[in-house]
Amino acid sequence: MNDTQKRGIKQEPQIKKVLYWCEECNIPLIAKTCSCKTQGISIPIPEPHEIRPALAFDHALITRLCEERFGTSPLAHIILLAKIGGVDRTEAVIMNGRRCAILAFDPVSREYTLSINVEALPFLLPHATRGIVTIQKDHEKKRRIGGKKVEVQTNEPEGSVIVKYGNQYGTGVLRDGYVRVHELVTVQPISFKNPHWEEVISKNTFHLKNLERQAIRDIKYHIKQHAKNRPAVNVSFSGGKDSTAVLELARKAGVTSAFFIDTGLEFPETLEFVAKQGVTMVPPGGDFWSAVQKAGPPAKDNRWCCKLLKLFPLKRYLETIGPCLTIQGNRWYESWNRSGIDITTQNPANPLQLNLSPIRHWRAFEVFLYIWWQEIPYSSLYDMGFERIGCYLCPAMLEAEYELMRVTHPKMTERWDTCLLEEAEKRGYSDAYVSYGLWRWKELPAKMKELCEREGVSKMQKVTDVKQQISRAPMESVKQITPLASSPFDAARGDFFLLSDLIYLDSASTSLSPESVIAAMIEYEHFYRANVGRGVHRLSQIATQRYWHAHEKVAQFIGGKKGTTVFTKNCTEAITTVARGLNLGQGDHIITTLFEHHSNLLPWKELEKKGVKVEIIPMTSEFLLDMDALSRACTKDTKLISVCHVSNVFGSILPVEKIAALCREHNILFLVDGAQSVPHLPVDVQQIGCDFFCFSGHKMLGPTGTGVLWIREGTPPLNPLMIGGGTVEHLSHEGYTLLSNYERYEAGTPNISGGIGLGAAIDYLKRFGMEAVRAHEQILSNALINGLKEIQGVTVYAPSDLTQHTSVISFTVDGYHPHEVAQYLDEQADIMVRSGHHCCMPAMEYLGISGTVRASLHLYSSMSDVQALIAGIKELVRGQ
Amino acid sequence: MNKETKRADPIDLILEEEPVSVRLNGSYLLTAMIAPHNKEEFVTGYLFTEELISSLADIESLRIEGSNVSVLTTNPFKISKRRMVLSGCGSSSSFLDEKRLQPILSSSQFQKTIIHKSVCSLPPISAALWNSEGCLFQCSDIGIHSAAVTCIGYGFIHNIDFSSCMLALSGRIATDIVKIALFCKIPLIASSSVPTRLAITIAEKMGLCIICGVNADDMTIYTDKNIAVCS
Repeated sequence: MNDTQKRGIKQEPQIKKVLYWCEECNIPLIAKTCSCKTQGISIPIPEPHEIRPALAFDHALITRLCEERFGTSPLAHIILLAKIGGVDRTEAVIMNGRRCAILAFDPVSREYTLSINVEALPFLLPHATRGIVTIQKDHEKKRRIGGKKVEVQTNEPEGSVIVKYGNQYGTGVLRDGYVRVHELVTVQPISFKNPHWEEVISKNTFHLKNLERQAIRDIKYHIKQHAKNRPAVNVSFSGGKDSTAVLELARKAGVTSAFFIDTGLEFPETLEFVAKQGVTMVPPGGDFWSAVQKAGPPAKDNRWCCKLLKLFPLKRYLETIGPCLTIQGNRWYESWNRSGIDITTQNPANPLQLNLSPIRHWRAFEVFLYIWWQEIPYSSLYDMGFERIGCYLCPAMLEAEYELMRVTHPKMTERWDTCLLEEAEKRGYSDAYVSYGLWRWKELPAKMKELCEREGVSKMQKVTDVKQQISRAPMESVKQITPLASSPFDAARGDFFLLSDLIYLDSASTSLSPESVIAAMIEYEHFYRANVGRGVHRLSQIATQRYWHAHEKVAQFIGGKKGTTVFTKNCTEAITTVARGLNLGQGDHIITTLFEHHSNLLPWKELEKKGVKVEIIPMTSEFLLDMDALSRACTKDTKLISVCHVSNVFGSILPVEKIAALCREHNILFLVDGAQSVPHLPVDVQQIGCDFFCFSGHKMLGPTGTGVLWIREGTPPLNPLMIGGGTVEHLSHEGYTLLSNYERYEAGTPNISGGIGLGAAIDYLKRFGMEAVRAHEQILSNALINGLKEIQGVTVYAPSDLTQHTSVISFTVDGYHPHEVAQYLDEQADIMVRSGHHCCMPAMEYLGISGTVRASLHLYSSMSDVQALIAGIKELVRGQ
Repeated sequence: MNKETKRADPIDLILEEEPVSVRLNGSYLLTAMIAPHNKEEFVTGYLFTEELISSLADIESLRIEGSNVSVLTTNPFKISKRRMVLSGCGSSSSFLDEKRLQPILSSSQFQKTIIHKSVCSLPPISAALWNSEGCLFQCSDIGIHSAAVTCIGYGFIHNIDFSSCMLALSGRIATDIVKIALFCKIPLIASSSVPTRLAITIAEKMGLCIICGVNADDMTIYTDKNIAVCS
């Protein structure tokens, strides 16, 4: 029993499969009887049974086609169009109570055709001056030609023709010197009344009032029915005719709130129209142009764009509203998919929203009549010839409409055509992928396969210049088509391919690399792949210099010109190089902290086997370092203090300059693990005053497999972790002399492309400046922390003084293991976060928890990402 | 300095000379014998005057390792080889094409006192870059050409407007020096020695002012057009 039946008021309306027509008034009717009391004739309308008025563009088009073919256009003011199946736009033309012709668009020739039916002849024939093919009647043979192919001699152009055969007339199609005759009839000329649409409205006013009354009643009923659980009521407004009608109905029912989701792919006319309607405009949420580079164009059977551009922004918006009843303009007749929708429907992807469809049983005919009757302004795109108002490059749009767009909005089609052509080239598809609109399907349906077969089109591998392909920098076309961004950080998102269709909040584990870093590495592989320091040939020379230059860039970036900058595999290797290179032993004392990642604990713990004592300083209740405890721990045996600059769990910033001063006072070596600081803060190792500074290249937009160890000038040289090729100045039977620069510590063939990529990452970061990066991330982090703290059941582990904090945020959700939360966010919201102990087990043990969920931001993160995470957690908590 | 004679000790006047081997984008470019202290300026000046780079931004990195200098341009896989004949170091593959020389359009002028001071203060085999306010850079080298190139390199690195500068030399002005001045659009070169005839001819055509024989009392202007001297 559906919702309406439960009410026991009336039956659900039936789908109208016919159009009633008053022959007396010569107008279409909403119901069976005209207000002139005449019973209407019934015109069958094929599936999906949708009919709409022919608007200005349609009328002008049919007029032109009729004049071109028949030299005349005796068309009525009132024409209706009924959608029927075809390869593209195909509609039955209804006029004077008859189905007179079929209007169709051919996606191959890009032309419209008008094929007349015999029902048109009574009013067309008296005025036609051409397009008539006479077939000589053989009175003796009395042959029937209806349905047959007859050879003719004629100068008429190919296409739909009027056939004259004796005293009978018919219609047919002329091609290659033959006419395929449809049928022949005896034609009696008829003249018809030619009313305007105003008369249609006035003669159907009674039924329009009924429709309006019923819709408003349905709205009021459901508002009352769901008032307790869904106190918020709004209208989902798209700018189209259906939601225009629904907005009017809803406002008459007392609804005041409405919203519009801007997908970022709207017609400018739509945005202009929506802005005048007094609705809330929800800004775009996803970056379509980046996503399309990754996912390819969307298709009717692969509508990934809806999730990115509609669903996620809608979810974020609904989080601010709470549970609501949303009134929308969905109708049965729009498509096969929507036929039979109930008055209320629940979208499982949006549990907050119950959808109400009060005009589900209206045809476009009734919608326009209502709009005209109430004199409601509607989108100008309809009169321009667009039947569907939505994203302008929606795969569901017709090629006929897209062809129209090439005239009305050429810049927009040029942009999309460029994208499609690139995709076709990438996949080795023929031009038909774009020119016939084949991109609209992932798997071509039968009708399109037939078309391809008929035209001799198939997907062929094009001959390409391989070198030309690979020398092109990856995603360079994205830069040309990425829309204007409001800040440099917004614009930067286009440089990160992975962000096109998901939210990445795990940068503390490893960051993403921008296209310029990837391009630098690819250039190495393609143009000068050679070993460093080993050859005289030019490839080796270039590789050596670029690799060296990357060291120089890193040194300058951290203020470390007065020191040695060594490239390592990662931060762990950098710290281990110090731990094993210092010759620490029995009786030596090392101090570290509870904040440390295992990579800054285990290398020291390993030394306990040699009799080194390792002391761990605790944190305060504010997740900051207990400096007093650190100070008290220093003894005459303390050889080294090793601390992280920023905690990878809590985001706390440790006071490294103060610790350095303490170290100088006690003549203690000082190592700083900058893995979580260098990517997010300005760092100057001279200002810090440390002896060793270690960090990860891959967390600062560099490639994986890169890290850095910086050693202050004047620090006694370390024993290298490994020695081998490239580390010696001299080697003989007597002994060897190690080099004194970074090469001393980089034995063997290093990660050359990684090092060069790291240099490119530095160049990228310098474009923004680390002060700006810090400021950007701080705004986002503060918003995230504050947003999470407002959710009941969520505990955030961060210093309350947010100036002592960076963009790493750990939290737990009551009742959920951190892995469950991370999995939920991944599956339900495409958000990537880390969960667990984060290689910081002692800290977790200290807090008495098994782990946390950790969200970590970077310069490419956005407020939209933050809002999505907050919305996701709220949804999770609500689901308990 | 010898305290008795109050003259510079001859041993102190000995100039160091060492080879500098230059690689550009991995390939060998030249080896020159120069005074060792201004390698970066010499190499940069050489690349600029040989039209291998047109701005400082073209240099991605310059690495000095002992007597080796290696330069990478921002697009190391595209090298333009446009060279002209020199009498100085290492460019015997070039040719002199007057059609490609640009005339001097600068209207800068220099006081006689400046010109006099710029030349007379030079030690042997040296070059200096001056503007109307004074000396910007001076260096001594193995040859005049190397010294001039080094001065140009300095000016290039420090983004100096050459059209407002003059080049002072303590050796003979030949076409190689004229070519450098024309390329950098330096309106005036001055020297203590007499120039070559070809140098005068080309300078005259291109509006470059050559002043030679500069001493305490006098100087000779060898070109008629665009005399960049004021009282």
